[in-house]
Amino acid sequence: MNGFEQDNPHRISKGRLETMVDTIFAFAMTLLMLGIVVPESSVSQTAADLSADLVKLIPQFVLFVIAFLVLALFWIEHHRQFHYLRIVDPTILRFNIAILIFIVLIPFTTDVAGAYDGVRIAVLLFHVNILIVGALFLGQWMYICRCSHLCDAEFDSATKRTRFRLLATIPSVAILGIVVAFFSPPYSLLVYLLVPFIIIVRHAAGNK
Amino acid sequence: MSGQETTDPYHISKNRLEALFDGIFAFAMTLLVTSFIIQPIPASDAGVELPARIAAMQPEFISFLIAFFVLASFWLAHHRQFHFVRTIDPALVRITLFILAFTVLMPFTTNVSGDYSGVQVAVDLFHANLFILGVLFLIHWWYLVNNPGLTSVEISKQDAAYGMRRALVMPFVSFLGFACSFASPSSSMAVYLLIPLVFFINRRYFTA
Repeated sequence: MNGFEQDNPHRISKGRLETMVDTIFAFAMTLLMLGIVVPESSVSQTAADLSADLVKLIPQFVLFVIAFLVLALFWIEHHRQFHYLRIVDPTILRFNIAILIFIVLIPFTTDVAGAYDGVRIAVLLFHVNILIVGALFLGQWMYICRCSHLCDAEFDSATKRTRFRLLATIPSVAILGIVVAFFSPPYSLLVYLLVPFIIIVRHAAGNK
Repeated sequence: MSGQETTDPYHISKNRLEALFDGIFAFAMTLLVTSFIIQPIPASDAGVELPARIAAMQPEFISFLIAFFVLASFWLAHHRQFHFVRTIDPALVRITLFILAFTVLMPFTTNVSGDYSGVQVAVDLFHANLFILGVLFLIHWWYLVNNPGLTSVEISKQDAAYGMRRALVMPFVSFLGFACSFASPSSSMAVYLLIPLVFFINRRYFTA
């Protein structure tokens, strides 16, 4: 089986898929910056207006930081999951292409949610986008857990459970964000600040 | 021959050509998202205007999805074809550079065809871009099949024919899209839904 898969010309090498995913993440994270746009004004007005314009950009800047950190978390998660993988099969490939589509959409949904943070539909786009990526990562991990022939070494059920709980964090937080968005769209974006706390608390609880 | 090629300072290594190819593909696929542009709406109207604007982006979203999947499948095709490659010659570099030039155009043609999905010229730009890319991949495969010196193992007749049939799908489908655009520009995009179907039939009925 192993030898057959190595020779199969349709097998996608893990290395090239990783490079592709890393580059798309890197570019998507950089593109987030395009969401922060200072309105253009003539030079004479600039001195007076610029500080006011910059203050108006604060929500977009906060959301930029949140989206950047969420993308970074997803990237680290991808790295961890691929640490266990030895070979890439068509299902893993499909998971990755689906993940990449929604990663590429994040600069757009971040831009819309940042520019119209008072509008429910704009904020929901962002939450749904994060929810889908989170769910796809969770799905990929469940698939990896079931297919041990794809992995280097067997990993224990404790690892499976820990990672599963860690992975469930982001989709749950996104669902919380969707719920909060029905009461207050702008504040719902701040739910993602819970993620580091949840991770720290879980770490502390796990080490006892 | 192999020794002489590797000491040639002008020799391009397979790995670096792959890295350039992957990097440009990843950038082009990520740039597709920049076609989603919402013109600034005053904050007071945003609650009413924004849902309508987002709903009106449907053709752009369809173009984005098609372009993303097509680029992903071109990337996979390149991966499959390069699986056989052992060393690179100048002609292969040139073919690759032409492929990359038309890949880089994809975000532009996707953007135009999404924004003006009812205009025949705009949609034809998209079809023409994919047609040229498809033909270049066909040339790429044809060149590899006919230059056994470049490949690590000889490509069997069966693999060669299978690869040719796969490579013919895209030029054929995009030409069909071009023909359909005379009848209805906006629905001519639907022809790309044939691709998974054709691949499925090809795999199911034409492989031993």
